[in-house]
Amino acid sequence: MQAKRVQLPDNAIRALVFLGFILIWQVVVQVMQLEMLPSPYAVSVQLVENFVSGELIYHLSITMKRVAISFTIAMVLGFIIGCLMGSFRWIDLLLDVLVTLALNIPALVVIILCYIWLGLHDWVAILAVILNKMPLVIVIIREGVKSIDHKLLEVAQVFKLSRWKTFWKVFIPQLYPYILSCIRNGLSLIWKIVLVVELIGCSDGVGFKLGIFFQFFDIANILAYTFAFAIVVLLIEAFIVQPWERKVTEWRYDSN
Amino acid sequence: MIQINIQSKKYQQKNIIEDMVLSLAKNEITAIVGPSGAGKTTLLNMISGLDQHFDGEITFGQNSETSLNIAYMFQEPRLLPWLSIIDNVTLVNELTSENSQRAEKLLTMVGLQHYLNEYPKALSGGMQRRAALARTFLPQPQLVLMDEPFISLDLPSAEVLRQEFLTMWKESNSAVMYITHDLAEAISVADRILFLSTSPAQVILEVEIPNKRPGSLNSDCVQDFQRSLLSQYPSLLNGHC
Repeated sequence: MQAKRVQLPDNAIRALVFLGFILIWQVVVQVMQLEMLPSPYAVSVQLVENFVSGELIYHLSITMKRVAISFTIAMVLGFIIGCLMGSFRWIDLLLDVLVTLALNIPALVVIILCYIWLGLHDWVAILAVILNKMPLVIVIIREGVKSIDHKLLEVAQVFKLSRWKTFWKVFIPQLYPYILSCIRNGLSLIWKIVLVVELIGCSDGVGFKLGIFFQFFDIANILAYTFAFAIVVLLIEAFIVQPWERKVTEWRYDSN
Repeated sequence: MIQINIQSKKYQQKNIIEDMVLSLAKNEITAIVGPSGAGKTTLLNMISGLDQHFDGEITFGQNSETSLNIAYMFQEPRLLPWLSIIDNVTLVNELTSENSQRAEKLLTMVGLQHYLNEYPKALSGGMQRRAALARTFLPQPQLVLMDEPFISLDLPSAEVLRQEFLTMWKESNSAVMYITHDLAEAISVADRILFLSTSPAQVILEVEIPNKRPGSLNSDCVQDFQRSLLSQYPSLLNGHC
């Protein structure tokens, strides 16, 4: 007789892996008595304390605001430039070297130069993040546009579809995988860059707080702020990115 | 009346179409038969506006500025994979309840009434072509361009689709330019056939079909006419008269 397989939902598996990670962490701390690694319990106490005092929410919301603004601007500008480079050879030729250069300049260099040249302002922090993220969006979207199926655009042309309809119904859906890739990369990359930007030249935000905790070797607080931020990013992924991805890629999967 | 006057169409500095003068009448199916590489698809692309790099003009009616409502059925179905079948069909027209009803009616005519909300991926190649056929006739086109629309289908499926096409065409009163390399198919659907030469393509023979749309490809009428044409012009399908 064949044993019946128990199938767990994907989210249950993810939750179990996370709980397992916390458990191993707790055991390692208790067994090895590591001074430099606080237990998950100590981190969660700090997390709750910071949350209750309102400090965590304050700095987190400032960082999230910077992430949201820079992410949106980098996505929109990167999308437009990527589309132009993918569609017109001469624009691609003109900008290709600059984009490749921008893509390969270390994020830290861009941040430092922005602060030196433009001053320690909030908008400079956002600009530095945009300049770091945008080249990646440009390159991904450019490749997406180059792989557009022109036979489908011909259908739109022959049946005289409006530009609006052609853009939204024929052009953009072909770029969804590339846009999704930009969003994923963007979320993971931008918040890391924002923290560095805040660490170097801001007087608020999670990055700024991490800098202070670093000076005091306050590892529990460093981890508490990091987890709080990671949780927010995970929630964005779970409740915004993934549902949208499911919606726009539904056609790829069999109806049954 | 649609007048097509192409002086020359070049591809890699070589004339592939030369001095081609055609006229298409409303309510008439004109089949274009020619060997592979004769420029049949290029001709349709020029008429549809997809290819505008040629010397000559295509006029619709008396005024060369008049634009015509053209529909094109390509060799492949070219359905948008991310849209449902009904959305693929209604895409080519304004979204009104009247158009939606008409799209459903056309899809029902081709037997796809139970697949309206399916994605193209869920349909077979033949079913996708049916949806493409419904899309072709939804905008009530004045000119329908068909580029070997039922190629690579098995014979019974192609026969069924041809009959469905003829039913839709009869309701539409449109002029049809039907490209095929199959002479029997041309005889079975067309009012007249234009034979093209090899490159540069020119019309080498125009034939009026005596018994219009006599039925299937294997009917005696179609076979007899095909035999008589080929006995008279043995190299016709190779582009020589």
